[in-house]
This record gives sequence, structure tokens and C-alpha cells, in this order.
Amino acid sequence: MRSIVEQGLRDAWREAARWWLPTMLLACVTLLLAARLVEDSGSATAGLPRVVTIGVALPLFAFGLAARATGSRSSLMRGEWARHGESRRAYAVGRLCMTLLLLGLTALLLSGAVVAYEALIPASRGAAAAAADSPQRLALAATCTAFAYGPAFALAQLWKGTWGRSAYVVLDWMLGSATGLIALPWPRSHGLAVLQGDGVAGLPPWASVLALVSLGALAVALYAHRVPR
Amino acid sequence: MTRVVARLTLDSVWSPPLRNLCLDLNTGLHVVVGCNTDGAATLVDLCAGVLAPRRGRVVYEGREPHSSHQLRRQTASLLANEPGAPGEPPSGWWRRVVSQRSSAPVSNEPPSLATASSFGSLHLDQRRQLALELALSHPAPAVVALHDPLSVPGDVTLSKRAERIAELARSAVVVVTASALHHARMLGGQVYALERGVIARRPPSAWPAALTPGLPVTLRVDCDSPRRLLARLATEPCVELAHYDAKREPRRLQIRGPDLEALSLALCRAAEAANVQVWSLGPASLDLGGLHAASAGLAQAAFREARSGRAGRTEPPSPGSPEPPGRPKP
Repeated sequence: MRSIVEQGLRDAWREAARWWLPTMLLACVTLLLAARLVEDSGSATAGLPRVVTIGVALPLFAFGLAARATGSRSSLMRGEWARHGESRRAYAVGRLCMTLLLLGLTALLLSGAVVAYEALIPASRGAAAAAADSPQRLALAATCTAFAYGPAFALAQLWKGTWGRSAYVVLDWMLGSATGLIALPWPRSHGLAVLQGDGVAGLPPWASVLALVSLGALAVALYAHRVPR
Repeated sequence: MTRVVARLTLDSVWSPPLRNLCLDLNTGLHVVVGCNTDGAATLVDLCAGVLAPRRGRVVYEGREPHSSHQLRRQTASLLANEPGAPGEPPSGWWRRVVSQRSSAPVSNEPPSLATASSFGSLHLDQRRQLALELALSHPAPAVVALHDPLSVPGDVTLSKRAERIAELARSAVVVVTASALHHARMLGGQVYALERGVIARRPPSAWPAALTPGLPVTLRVDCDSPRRLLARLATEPCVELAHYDAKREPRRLQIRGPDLEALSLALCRAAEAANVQVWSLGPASLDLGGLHAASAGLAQAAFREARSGRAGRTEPPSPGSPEPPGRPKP
């Protein structure tokens, strides 16, 4: 069992790490730089890079990574080790673990990049607001959001492939921006709530952290359940 | 020694291009004649557990291959498209799969082909050759699913491969697909014809004599002097029947006998003795297209017969009688 989980970790790393991971990281950092420039130009609210990290960069990164690292349903079914008798479920969980690890590290890296920008090049207008926000809160929001997005995209990929992931990201952007009860099942709303210190549908911010962890755990359980043994 | 009979059941399986496939396969050899577009590759994928049916069930002793890793461990398979294990050297892959099958220490050394640095450096035929050797080396499989194993190139002769497959069929359900009819004949066993996703023929229904294992085989010989060759062949004991039509095919001779190898040897001896030059030699059996055409002809004939029988049984209605219920008026 352990060796097949390790095999899943290795295969996910091989699929994601070659050129895709550095390229996407570079794209995310570029996106944050652009957000910083927009913020400096005065046409946006303060703390835009933080919002972009949680609301745009992380979902898109998870969208791409889930497809590469966890693989499609047919690639899981045809996986060589599972074909010769290893547990497909353990292998898939191994791949998902690597996806979560990479997403967590990316979330921390992007948070670090944002904090470093703010420290090195203070924005003319948003410096005070940015200084008021603690880096820990940004890191917590990014990590929890990444933990919620990873398995959710993996599950959507397993369910309906690219269409499933696309539908999830569109629904997350549309419904996750709402304020009522409809925003409760979407990571975007909780991630921004943790970042900005207010709750979703009247809940306290710590409830959003709990909701993100619960959403992630639920998606992991559903993902493992849906992969055939 | 008692022979345990297990059963692999495909129950109303829909998985394109297979359409509502129903098969009950007991322990033994089952040869399915058909090409990939007929669903041969999909059938092997289903039996090997790398594909789940869209509808219906594939069951072996209460377990489904796609959801039971214990059953897949007891399954030896050769797929149409062997991907190998990317990122793993073939020798490591071989050792791992062999050790995965049994807890005993690995004694089966990988073949020479497995010394390649990666699967990426092997082409499809080589990957299939490796996978076939791995499948045939399985010590005690419950299910064997092989896609066109006799078309895989390799050092092992076809007859040895066929012998090993027959040996495995003594204790396992062996499903082999063949795209060439002479391969199906060489393998023997129960022969099914798969056509456009459905089983067009199944035992013990009518089957072309040219394909049925154990029945005489006919060879088609093209040569420069069929009469001289015919005179020589008439003395050979293994030749049961010789046919020559000087008007329609003046350079062609057809001979029939119980054993293909004996017939070929007798032909070579006769050609040498009669100093006849043989241009081509091949089995005068149907090809896959011919088989499908024959199946279609049989089906059409059966349909017509059934239709005419029904029409004969039905009494013509008298002018005053009412229309039968449920029958739409024209």
C-alpha cells in the first residue's frame, strides 16, 4: 500500500514538475506584479495583489495543476500499476497528496511574494492598509483556499474532465462572489472572507477557515470514494 | 484431477463500440474474431479491468475486474495500446510486476528487450511484445485477456505461443481476440465473431468450415504448371482433395488436407520433384471482410425465412372481418 502511494506521489511530481510548474509560477508572479501596478495607478482598491492571489492566481493554478498531477479518469483506469493489481484508490490518493503539497507550497510562495512586494516597494495609496494586514492572515487564507481548491478540482476532473473543472471554476467565480447562503459551498467566498476579516452569510471569519478545511476534506473523501479500486 | 470451472460474464455491456454484449465464458479458450473497430480492443480492456462498462456488468466470480485489484492481480493481459510505465525502466517495471503477482522471490528474469533505458525508447510492437511475455509468464492467472497475441512480433514461434495460451486455458478463462482468421484457427477453442460491436456468430451455431479448428484446411497454390504438380500431389497421402479449374484459373490449384503443416511439406516435395515453380501459397480461407459478409448473408436469410414463415402462418383477413387490435390503419 505504502509503495503505491509513493508511486502516486512520484508520478504526480513527474507530470507537474518538468516545465509546467515553473512556467505557471512565473505567470502567477507576473499576474501579481500587474495587480500591483494597477493598484499603484489608483484605479483599484488597496490590497489588490492579496485579493488577486486568493481570487484569481490560486484558483487558476489549482485548475491547471489538478488536471496534470491527479490525471484524468481514463489515465487512472489505465495506470500500469493498478492494471497489474495495485489499488487504484491508493495510487490516486498518492497523486492527490502531491497535488495538495504543491498547491500548499505555491500558496505560501505567492503569499511571500506579495508580502515581499509590499515591504520592498510600498504602494503610495495602499501602504497603510497593506501594513495593517498581517502576513500570517494572508498565508492562512492562501493555504486554506489551496487546500479547498485542490481536491475540488481533482473531483471535478474525475467527474467530467475539463468540462467539469471549467464548470467548477465558473460557478466558484459567480456564486462565490455572492454574499448570501448561496456563497457558502464555494472556496472563493471563504478565502476572501478570511483575508478581509469578515464572514460569509454572517458567520465569523474563523468559521470560514473551518469551512475551507471541511470543503477540502469532503472533496478528498468524495474523490477517494469515486476512484474505482 | 478435477477441473474447477469459473465463469466470466459480460451482462448487457454497452461500451462503445460494443453494443449490448452478452457473453458467458467458462474456463477455457475463447477466441473472438474481429478488429478494433468491431470492439475487440474494448472487449480486452473490459476483461483486463482497465475500462469500466458504461452500462451493464463484467463479472468474474462475483467480482468486477475494474473495481477489484485482487482480481486484476490474477489477470494477465495484453492491450491493443500498451502504454508501459512512463518514467520507469522496463527491467524495473518487469521485476515489480512479477513480484507483485506473488510473494515468492523474483526468479523470472526480464527478457532482453527490457534492458532498454525507458519505455519511451520502445515502439508499440516492442511494448506489446514485452507485455505479452509478461502475460504469458503469469504463474496462475484466473482471467487472461489478450489482444491479437499472434500478430505480435517476437522470437517465440506462433505455435509455441498458441501452446502456452492453450495451457493457460486449462485453469483460466482465456479471452483472445484475433484480427486474422488463420490466427483464430491456429488458436482453436470456442470461436466467436465480433462485428460492429455485437457477437455475430457464436458456438455452436453455423461456422465457416474454413475456420473451424480440426476440420480440413485448404491451400491455394499459384504455380507455372498446375497439371504436373497435380500429378505429383495425387500420390501424397496427406492430400484429401485437389481442385483444378483450367478454364477459370489456369495457374491456380487448390488442395485440401487435415494438417496444414503436412500439406505444405507435401506441396514443397511435389514441387521440387516435378520441377514446378510455386509463385504463391496461402490458405484459401475467408478473410475478415468475407466472414462479415457471410454473417450478414446468413442473418438476412434467417430474417427472410422468419418473415415468410410468419406470413405463411397468418390467415388473410376476410373482407368483412374487423382489423386486429393495436394494428394501425394505413
